[in-house]
Amino acid sequence: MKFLHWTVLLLLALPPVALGQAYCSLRDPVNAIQTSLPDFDHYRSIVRRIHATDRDAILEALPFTIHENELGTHTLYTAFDENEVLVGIVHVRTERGRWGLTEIAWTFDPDLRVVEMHFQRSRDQSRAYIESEAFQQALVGKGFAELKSMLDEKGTSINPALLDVPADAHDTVVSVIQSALKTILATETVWNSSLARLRENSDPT
Amino acid sequence: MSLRTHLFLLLFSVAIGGATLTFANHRWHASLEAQYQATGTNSTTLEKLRHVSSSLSRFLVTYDLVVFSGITYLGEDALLQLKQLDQALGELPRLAVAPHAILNSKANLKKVQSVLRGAIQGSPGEASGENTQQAEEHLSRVVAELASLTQLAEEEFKRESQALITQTRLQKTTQSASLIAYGTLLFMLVVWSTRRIAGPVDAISEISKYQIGAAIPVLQKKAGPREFQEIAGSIHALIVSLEETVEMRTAELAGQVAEHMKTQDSLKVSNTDLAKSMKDLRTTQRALIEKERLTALGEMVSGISHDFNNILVPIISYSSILIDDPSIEMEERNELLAIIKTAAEDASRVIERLRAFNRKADGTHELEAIEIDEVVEDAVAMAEPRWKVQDDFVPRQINVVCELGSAGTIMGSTAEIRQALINLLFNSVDALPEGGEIRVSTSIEGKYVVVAVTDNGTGMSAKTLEACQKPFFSTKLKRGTGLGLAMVNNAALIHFGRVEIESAPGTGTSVRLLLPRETTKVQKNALSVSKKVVNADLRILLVDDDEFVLNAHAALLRHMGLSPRISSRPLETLAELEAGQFDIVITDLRMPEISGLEFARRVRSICPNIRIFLLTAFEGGLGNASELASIDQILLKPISVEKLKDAILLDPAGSLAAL
Repeated sequence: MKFLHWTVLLLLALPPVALGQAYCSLRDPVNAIQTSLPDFDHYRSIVRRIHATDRDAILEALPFTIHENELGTHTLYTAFDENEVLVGIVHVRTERGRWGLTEIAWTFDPDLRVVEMHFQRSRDQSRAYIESEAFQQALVGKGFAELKSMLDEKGTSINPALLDVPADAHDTVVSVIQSALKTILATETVWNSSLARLRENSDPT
Repeated sequence: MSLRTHLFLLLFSVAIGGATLTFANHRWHASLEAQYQATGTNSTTLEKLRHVSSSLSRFLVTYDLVVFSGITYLGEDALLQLKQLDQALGELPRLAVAPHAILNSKANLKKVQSVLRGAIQGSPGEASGENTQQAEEHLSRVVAELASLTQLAEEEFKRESQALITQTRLQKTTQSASLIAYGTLLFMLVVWSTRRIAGPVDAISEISKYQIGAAIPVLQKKAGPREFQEIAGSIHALIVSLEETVEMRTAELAGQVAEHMKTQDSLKVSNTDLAKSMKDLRTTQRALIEKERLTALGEMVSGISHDFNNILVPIISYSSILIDDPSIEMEERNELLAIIKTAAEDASRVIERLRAFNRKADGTHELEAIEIDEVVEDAVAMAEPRWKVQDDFVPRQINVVCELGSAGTIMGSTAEIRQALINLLFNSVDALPEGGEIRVSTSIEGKYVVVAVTDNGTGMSAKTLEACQKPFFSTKLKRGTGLGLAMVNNAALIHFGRVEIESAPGTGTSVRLLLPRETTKVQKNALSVSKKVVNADLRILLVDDDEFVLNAHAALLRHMGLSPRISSRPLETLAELEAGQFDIVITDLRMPEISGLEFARRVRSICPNIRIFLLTAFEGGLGNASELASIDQILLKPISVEKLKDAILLDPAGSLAAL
């Protein structure tokens, strides 16, 4: 109960400007691009601004809410091979964790399926578990629908039928999956036209 | 085992059980309290750890925004939150659970603060990558340890809470089990005690229901307090003893009853003998009374003879003169006849008194209104010859003074009272051997009429006075029966009165007869002489075997203006008699052909509505009521003109009465 009180006090204490600041990547995800996309040759970043209308569209598709900080300018990293073929996209998301800000670098294939997730910053105790091979395998290849099904209807708890996680890692796992869902939706909503063109250009046919 | 021991064991068991239960309950409570304290401590620890964790969490978000996102205007907030974190961490050293790394974090936070200030102030040195990295490592370590510690504390708290719940449940279960066990123990003790106590009590109760005569109950020995067994034994012994006593007493009573029955039979025989003796005694008493009466009568006879001779003197003398001397003037003749009539009437009264005296008491005392003065006058007249005629021809002068003062009326038997007064007068005469005075008086004292007979004769000694009213006591030797005063006393008793005697030797005797006075006005059965003239048309039949008497009575009737038919032969008269022939039949009682009663019965059968008068010289021997059923009136001879006239003029429905 006291935690809730402090949270409310904190939210009231934060200036509106700060709340309006996007939790964008603090660092370029170069390392993530290099490690998760072996065919990577170079990348290009596409900066877009997430508007309130975009946020509403995202909220409509999600069973859970998102905070005001989701608004603002964000950067999408698109990775190409040497033939200018789009091999993947990387989106760095900053989530508010229990122990400060958590920075997750999401790597998707062109169809927005998870290739890899990587903590760029996290003080969470569950970090090791989430970065473990076992949990990573549970995420790899999953699209929006599969990831959404891993949560309950409200999107605030793990669906135990599909995912078995330790109790102390539960909240962090939920936060990670929610991050993936928001990232996919934001990418499709805000960067949809760019992605369509890139996919088109990458199509060998 | 005694009752006291039983009760002691019962109470001791209850007390021990209760004390044990109370002690155990106290210990359980103490244990639970300790557990609560421990859980409470853990709860406090956990709360503080959460507070630190929350402070750290807020700080880290702001720190990251300032240091890594470059939102430097949140720097002051971050510093403030760092200060709050520092304060929160400051409370942890008080906890035993705080690990070493956290305890040292305060010092390390200075590095974090330095980095933060550098970021805020844009100082590259302070916020250099190396410093930032060191601060980050430190923060990560604190986070890790705090998370670990919080997790441990939560687990500990959870475990403690679970243990507390378990212990509470266990305690409740144990308490319930203990209470059930204690209740069961108590129940068993009560059942045991009840059986141990109730068994002998039932035996006592069973024995106590014993009733005398029933079979003696068997003494059943039941386990239990020694006292109850002793009581049961005592009662049983008592019953046995009682039964033996009852048997013995029953035997004694049977003997007594047999003896009593024997005595009763003997008493019955005695009663029979006694009744016979009583009967004989009554017969003797009646004979004695009759003897006393006859003695008195005998004593009177000589005097009466003397009186009668005196009465006859003028009758004979004057009648001879009247017969022999026709020259006597009418006036002188009438005077002589009047003397003769008076003498004859005196003779009639003498005879009447003698007849009245001769009436025997039949034991029934028919009460009638009596003028006491009249009875006194009669008694004095009847006793008069006794003091006028000297038995032993020794001259003596006895004066009798009557002081009659209209004493009033009593309800009584004339014969009894007159006899009593005669006896008193005789006693007074006997008490005056040399003459003297007898005073007879009547008076009223309260509700009594008093008749006093007083003489100034020899009197009685105290001893004689005491015994004089006892039957058969007499000072007159062979001359007396000893029943005179006893009869006086008896007459007083049957009239609800009493006798008072005062006497002293040489001064005389005074006897007072007190009789209850009749206060209500009594209508005397007065047969007043009517002055009416007898109806000359009355048809009268006069029957008498004695023609002399027949003609005398016929003359009386004719003197009244009637014309009677006379007959000295009753049977012939009956043969000729017809209904409605006569209004009145006057018949003599004793006739040679037929008795007057039988004659009257036959006349009544022929003439139902006729009036029949019976003439008789003897009042006694008239027979019973059924024999007198045909008689309307009884007329006693000699009958005067007035009495005969009254009888004829009386209502035919008048009661039988001797005129």
